Amino acid sequence: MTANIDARADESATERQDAGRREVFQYAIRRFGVYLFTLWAAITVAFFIFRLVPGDPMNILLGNLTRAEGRQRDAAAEEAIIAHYREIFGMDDPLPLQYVNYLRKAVLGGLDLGPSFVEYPAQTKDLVFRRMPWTLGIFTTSVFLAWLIGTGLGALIGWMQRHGLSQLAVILSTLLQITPQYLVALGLIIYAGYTLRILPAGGPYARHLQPEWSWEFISSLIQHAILPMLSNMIVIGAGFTLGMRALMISVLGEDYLTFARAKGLSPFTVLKDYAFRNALIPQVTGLAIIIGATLNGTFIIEILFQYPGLGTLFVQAMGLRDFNTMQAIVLFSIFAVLTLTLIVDLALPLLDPRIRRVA
Amino acid sequence: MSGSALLEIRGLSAGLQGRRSITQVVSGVNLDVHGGEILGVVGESGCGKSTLAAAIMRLLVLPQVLQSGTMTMRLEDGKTVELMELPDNELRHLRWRHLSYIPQGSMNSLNPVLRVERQMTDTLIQHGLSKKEALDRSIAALELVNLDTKVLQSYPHELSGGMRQRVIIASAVSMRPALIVADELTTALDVVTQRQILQELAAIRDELGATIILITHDMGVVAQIADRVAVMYAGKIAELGTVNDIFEDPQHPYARGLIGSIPRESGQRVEGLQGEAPSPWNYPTGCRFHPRCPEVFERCNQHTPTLQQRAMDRWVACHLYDAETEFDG
Amino acid sequence: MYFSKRGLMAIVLVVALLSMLSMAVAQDEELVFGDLPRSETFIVASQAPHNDVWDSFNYYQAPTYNNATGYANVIVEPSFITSHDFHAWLAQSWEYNEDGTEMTLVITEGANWNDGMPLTMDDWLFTLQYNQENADKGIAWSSFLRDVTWSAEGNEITFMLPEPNWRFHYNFTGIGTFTPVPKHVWEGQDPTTFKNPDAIHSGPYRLVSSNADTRTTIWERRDDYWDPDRMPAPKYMVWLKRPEADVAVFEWEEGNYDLGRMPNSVMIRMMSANPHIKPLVHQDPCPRGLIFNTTIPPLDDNLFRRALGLLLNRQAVANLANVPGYVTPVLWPNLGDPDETYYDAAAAEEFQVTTFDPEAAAALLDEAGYPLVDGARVDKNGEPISLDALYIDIGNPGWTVWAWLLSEQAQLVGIEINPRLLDIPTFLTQGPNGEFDIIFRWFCGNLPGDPIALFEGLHSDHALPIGERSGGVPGRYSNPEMDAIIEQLRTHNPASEEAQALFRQAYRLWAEEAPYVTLYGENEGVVFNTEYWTGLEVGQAWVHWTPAARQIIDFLEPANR
Repeated sequence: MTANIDARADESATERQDAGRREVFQYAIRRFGVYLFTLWAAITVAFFIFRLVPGDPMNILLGNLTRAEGRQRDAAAEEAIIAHYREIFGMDDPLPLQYVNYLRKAVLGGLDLGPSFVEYPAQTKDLVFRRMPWTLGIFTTSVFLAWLIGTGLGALIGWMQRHGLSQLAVILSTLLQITPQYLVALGLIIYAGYTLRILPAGGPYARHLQPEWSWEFISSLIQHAILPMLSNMIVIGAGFTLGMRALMISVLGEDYLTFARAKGLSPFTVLKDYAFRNALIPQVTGLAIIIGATLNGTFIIEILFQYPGLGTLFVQAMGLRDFNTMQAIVLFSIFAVLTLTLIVDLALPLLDPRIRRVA
Repeated sequence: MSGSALLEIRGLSAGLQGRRSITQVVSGVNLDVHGGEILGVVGESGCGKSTLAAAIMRLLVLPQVLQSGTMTMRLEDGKTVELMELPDNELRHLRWRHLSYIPQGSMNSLNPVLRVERQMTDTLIQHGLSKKEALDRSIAALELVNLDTKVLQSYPHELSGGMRQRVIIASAVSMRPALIVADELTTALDVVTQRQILQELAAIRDELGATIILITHDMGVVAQIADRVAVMYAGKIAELGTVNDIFEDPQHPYARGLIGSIPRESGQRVEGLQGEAPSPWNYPTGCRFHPRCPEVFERCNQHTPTLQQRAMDRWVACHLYDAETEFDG
Repeated sequence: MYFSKRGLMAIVLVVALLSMLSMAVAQDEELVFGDLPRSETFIVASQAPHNDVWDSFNYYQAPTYNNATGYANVIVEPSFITSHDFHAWLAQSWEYNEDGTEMTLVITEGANWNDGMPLTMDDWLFTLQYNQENADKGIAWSSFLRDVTWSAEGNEITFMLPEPNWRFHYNFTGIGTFTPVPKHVWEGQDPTTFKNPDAIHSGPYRLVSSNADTRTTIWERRDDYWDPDRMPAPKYMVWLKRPEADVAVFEWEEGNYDLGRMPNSVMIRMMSANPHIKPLVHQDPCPRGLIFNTTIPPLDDNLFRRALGLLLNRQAVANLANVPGYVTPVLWPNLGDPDETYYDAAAAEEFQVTTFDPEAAAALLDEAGYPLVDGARVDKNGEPISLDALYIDIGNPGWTVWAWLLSEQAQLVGIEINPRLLDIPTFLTQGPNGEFDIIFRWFCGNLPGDPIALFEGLHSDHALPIGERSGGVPGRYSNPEMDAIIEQLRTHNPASEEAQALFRQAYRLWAEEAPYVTLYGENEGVVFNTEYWTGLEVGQAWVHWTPAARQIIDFLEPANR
C-alpha cells in the first residue's frame, strides 16, 4: 500500500510537468481557435444585420443633399450623386457578393473596411483607429480600476460581513449597481462639473488645445478623463464589489478556511492566502464577462461626455445607416472584448492550478 | 474526576444563534481528557459531537455560538490556560503548538491554490520557526504518516483522498501538540485506507505522546483505537468509560443500542436503535433519549438525569440507576 | 535627503501657487478657448448632423456637407444671398435674353480670398470648368452645367443654355448654390478627396484651428476682407458641437454660448437661470404638410383625400408646434400673405384647403360613397377603412401630434387611422419609396415669386413603382392635366402673365385634387445670449438650418457691458 502511494508521488515531478505544459499549450490553441471563429461570426452577423435595419444610407444622403442645397432641388443632379456613391459603396452588387468582397478586402486588403459616410472620404479603418484609443483608454482603465477597487472592497466587506459598515456598503453598492449609468454620469456632470466646478465635464481635452507632448495638454487630458472614468467605475465597481463579497462569503464557508483558522494563522494570512486567493479566481472570470457586458455602457458615457470614441461614432453611423462604419465598430469592439477576454482566460491557469490540469 | 486532566471541560454549552434566541446544541458537557489517551466521542449524526469539537477548538462561527462553561488546559510547563477566555491573539499562538485540529471533511480542508509545502510551512513560520526548520518539521511529519516528501510540491487536487488526509494529519502533528482534536477523521475514506490511517494515528500517539480526542459516529473506529469512550446523545454525554467497560457492559440504553447496532462477524441480526435522533430545535424534555428508550418509565419524561459516577472511570446519565446512586435529579 | 525632497516639493508648490495667483491678477479680461477675449468672441453651439467633418473644408463633399464648423456657413459666400429678397454678394445681377436661352451674370469685382489672393474672373471660369469636368464624380453643383457653354467678357459671364430656361439663375441665388472656388488652391485637386485644409474661401474669417476630437473650430477675422461694409463685429468666431441637451443647458446658463438651438422644453428654464438668454423665433420657409399615397384605395380618390384634409385641426397643431405668439397657420401652400398673382383665392375657398370641419368631412365621405356601416366607414368593396399615419419625433410636438389629432377626428367620422412613429433614417427611406399611407413632410417653394417647386414634385415622372426612390412628392400622384401645366410652367418665365395664369390653374387643380395637404408653418426657436453680443432680432431675414450665418453675423453688435 505504501509503495503504491510512493509510486503515485513519484510520477509527479517531470512527467506531470511535461503533461501539464502540453495541456496548457493545447488549451491555448483551442482557446485561440474559438477566438478566431467568434471574430468571424461577429463580423458576418454584423454585415447582414446592419443591412436588414430599415433605412437606406442613400436616402439619408439624399436628405442631406436636400438640406445642403436648400430649395434648389435638382433631381437629376441628386440621382447622379447617388449613383456615384452607390458604386463607391459597392451597393449595386448582390448581397452575397458584397459580403465576399467585404471579407476579402478586410482580410487580404490589410483591413480595408471600405469607405465611410460619417467623415467621407475618410476610410472606415482610419476612422475607427482614430476613435478606438479614446474608448479603450477610458474603458479598460475604468473597468480595470473598478475591478481592482471592487475586488478589494468586496473582499473586505465579505470578510467582515457582519460589521455594520459592511452592511451599509452592501446597500450602497446595490443602489449604485442598479442606477442607470446615464444618471450616474449626468449626476457627476451636474455636481462635479457645474455645481462644484472641480472638474471639466465634457470633451476629451480643453477645446482650444491640440494634441501635443506638453504638460498643458496632458493635464487637460487627465482632468477630462476623470469624470467619464468615474461614471463608469462607480457602476461597474459596485457590481464587482457585490460579486466579490458574495464569492468571499461562500469561500469563508469552505473547510479549508476553518482549517486555516485552526492552524493558528494570522487573520491577515487567512484573508490573503486562503480566502482572497480562492475568491479571486471566479472574480477574474467575472472580469472577462463584465468586459463584454459593459462596453455599451461606456458608449453612453462617451456620448454624454462628448468623448470622441467609438460610441459617439456608432451613434453617428447609425443615424446615417453607414453600415461600413457600424460593422467596423462592432468588429473592433468584439476584437477588443475578445482579446481582453482571451488574456484573462489565458491568465486564469496562472491563478488556478486546477485549470492547468483539467483544461 | 481528577484534577490532573490535560483538558478539563465543565458545563460547556454551545448553540445556534437564531433571530431571537439561541438553540442549544451542546448542553452542559463535563469531560476530562487525560494526557496521552485517545478519547473517542461517539454518537449519531446531529448529536452535537462536531459542535463539541469545534467548541473545544474555539472554531465556532456564527450562527454557532459558545454559551457558557470552562475549558481548562494544562500546558507542558504546568501552567494552565482557560480556553474560553483566551483572547484571539493568544489563542492563535496556542493553536498547532499545543492544540491541533483534524477537521471533518478533510477532502476540502486543504487550500486548492497553494502547494502543500506552503500550507504546511506557513503555519510553522508564523509560530516562530525559520523557513528551514519549518520545512524540516514538515518533512518529518510527512514521514510519520508514510508520505513521500514529493507531495510538498503538489497541489491538493493532485493527491488522492488518503494522501490529503495524511497531509492534514502531518500538518496537525508537525508542531508536536499535546492535544489533537480529530473530527470524523476517516469518514470519507475506503476501509483499507481508514485502517492504515488509524494505525498511523495510534503510532503518532505512541511516538509523540499526544492526547487525541477522536470524534466519530463509527463505533468500530472507537473500538479499534480509543482508550476511553464518551457516548453523546442530543448534546449531552450519556455515558463515559473505558472502551472495554463500555463495549462489554454498556449501561445507558442508548450506548447499548449503539453497540447493538454494530454488525457482528456471525452476521446475526441485532436489535438496532428505533427512531431518529432529535434535532436541537425539539429536544425532548426530561431525559432527551426517553422517546426512543426501550426502558423508559414515568420519571424519564419529567426529570433530566445528570451524569453520575457509577464506578472507577464510569459515568452514566440515566434514571435507571437513580436508586443505586441514591441521587435525585 | 528626505528633508530636502520635501523642501523641494514645498518650493515647487509655492511657485505654482504664486504663478497661478499672478495669472489671476493679470486676467482683467475674461479669456476663453485659451487666449480669446470673451467679449470679442462669438460662440456658436451647433447641433452638428451625424456626419460632422472637422478636418476637411471641401465645398463639393455632398455626403458630408460641412455645416458645423462654420466653413459652409460663414466662409463660403454665394453669388446672391436670398432672404425675402436677393442680396448681391459675389455677383451683382443676372439677365436673360428674350427667349430664355442665354443668361448673363455680372460678377462682383474686387473680391478676394481669405488668404489674401484676389478673387477674379479666372477663378469663376476655372470653377465652372472644374465642376463640369468632374460632373461624374458625384459632386454637388455640377449637373446644372450639362450641355451649357459660356463665355466671359469683362465682369460678365454669358451662359448659353441648351433650351429655354428662365430659372437658370436659381443655381446662383441662395446659400448652397454654385460659387467659385480659388483656382490656386483647387487646381489639380480631386474634388472628392481634397480637404482644402486651410479653409480658403472668400468669407471674412480665416481658420485658426479645427479639432475633430473636441469638435471645435476657431476662426479669426481678417482685416483684408473685400467688402468693408459687410465686416462682421466679432474678432473671433468659435463653432463647436454642443453636448446633449441635458448637459448643454448648463453651458447656456453659464453664458458659454452665444447662439444655437435647444429644445423648446428647456428654453424657459434657461431663460430664468440666465436673464441674458433670449429666444429668437424664425419662420421656416417650408410649411409642414401631409402626403397621401394616391395608389392605395381609398386614398386614390380625391374626395376622400379632401375629406381627410377637412379633419385636420391645423390651428391646434400649429399652437402646439410653435413658440406661443408665433403661430402661423398656412393659408396657402407657401408661407406669407395670400398672393393672388400665383394663387386662386376662389379655389382655396371652394375646396376648403385649410378648413377644419369634421361635419363637412362626413358629408363629403357620404357623398363620395364611403357610408357609415356599424360605426365604421367602408370602402368601395365594403371593407372598413384603416390607414397608417407615419410620423417622426424630432422634439417638436407639432411633428407628432398631428397624427394623433387626425386619428382622433377620423375615429369620430368612423375611419381608423393608426399613428406610427418611425426613426429618422427609416422615415427618410420609406417616404421616398412610397411605403406609406399618410406621411408627414415639408414643402419648399421658390421665393420670391416662383412657386413651381410646389407643383414640380407632382409630375407623373415621379410616380415610380412603390419601393423605388422618388425625388418628387412621393405620393405617386399622376394626372395628365397636372403634367401638362407643369411642362408649360417649366418653359415660361415665371414673371410672365402666361406663367401666372398657369400657376393659378395649377393651384386650383392642387386644391381640388389634394395630392398633399398643408398643415402649418413652423416658427423655430433659436437661443441667443445677449450678454456679449446684441443685434439679432425676430423678423430679421435669416435661416437657422441653412448656412445663412454669413448674413446673420453682420447684424451682430458688441453688447455694452
